[in-house]
Amino acid sequence: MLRSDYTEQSASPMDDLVSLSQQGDLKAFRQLYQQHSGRVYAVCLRLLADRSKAEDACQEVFVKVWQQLALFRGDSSFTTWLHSIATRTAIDLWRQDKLLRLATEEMPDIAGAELGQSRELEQLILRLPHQARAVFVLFALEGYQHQEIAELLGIAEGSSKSQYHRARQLLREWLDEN
Amino acid sequence: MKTEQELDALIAGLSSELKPSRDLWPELEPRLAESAAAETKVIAIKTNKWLSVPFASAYVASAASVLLAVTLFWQPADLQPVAVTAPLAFNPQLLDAETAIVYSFEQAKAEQLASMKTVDPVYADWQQQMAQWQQAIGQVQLALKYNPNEALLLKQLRQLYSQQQNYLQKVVQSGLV
Repeated sequence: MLRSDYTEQSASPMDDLVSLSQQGDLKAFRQLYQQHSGRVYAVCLRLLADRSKAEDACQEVFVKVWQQLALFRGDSSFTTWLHSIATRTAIDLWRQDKLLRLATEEMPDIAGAELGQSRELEQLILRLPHQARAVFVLFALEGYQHQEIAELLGIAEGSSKSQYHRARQLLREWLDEN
Repeated sequence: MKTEQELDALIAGLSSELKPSRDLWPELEPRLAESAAAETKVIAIKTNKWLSVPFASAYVASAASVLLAVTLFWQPADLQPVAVTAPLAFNPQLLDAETAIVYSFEQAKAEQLASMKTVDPVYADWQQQMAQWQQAIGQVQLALKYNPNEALLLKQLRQLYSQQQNYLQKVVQSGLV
């Protein structure tokens, strides 16, 4: 789950797919998409809390990855590189969304099937206030440190910590109510 | 209320992957194909070494130098030189407001570009982004030609340069990490 866990499951086939994709092979890129879209979509949905926006963001991520594949030199694993683009893209959209969004705390309408087995907690995460949700997702699920989150979201490190504790507090309360 | 440990256990049970409700590939594929076609067109530009990062730095540095030289040495033809009693020192405060803004930001930009090593792939389109700001700056400068020293236009010019500078700072820092 954490970034440190992003090790390639099978380095060699992945490298081949990346290499073929770098040469413009769409079939190879489709396989990369199929292998990674679940993880990319997860971070997009959890950050944006909106299925339609998450789907757009997911596509945006893979367009960026496709466009920037030539720049991927293999200094880090492909998964790490891709996930960094995914997180940054989702955060950019989250930031835009923050400016547009009215301060509603409505429960997002997300179908249960796509939330997997931990449906209840997933729903509650999506219900968290905008900033608290972003901090919680980045810290607890994506493995970023508060200092990194502060930089990514343009907030103070202390705010990141307090938002994280607020998110946990809310989740514990809501889990008890349900 | 759930305990911290119970919450941690629930969090640990969350899946790292979630499936979209529909297959996104059919929509994605044409976008990738379009993108590949567009990329073919710009490959010639990208591979041109005269437009690479070091040369871009040199261009901006040169532009700043020329601007500085013009600012320092240009005088209207009908003015006779006055007797110089003290060494001339360059003082941006003596310039008109627009030139002072342009001079200070272009100088800072040249320094930023000169310090650029590599660029994080996230900022792969940084030159296009910079060009867009430059275009907007050009528009404001054009408006200033018709309305010299207009306070609102000067404010806009400063804001645009400031935004461009902040963006460039992020680009430069991305390559230092």
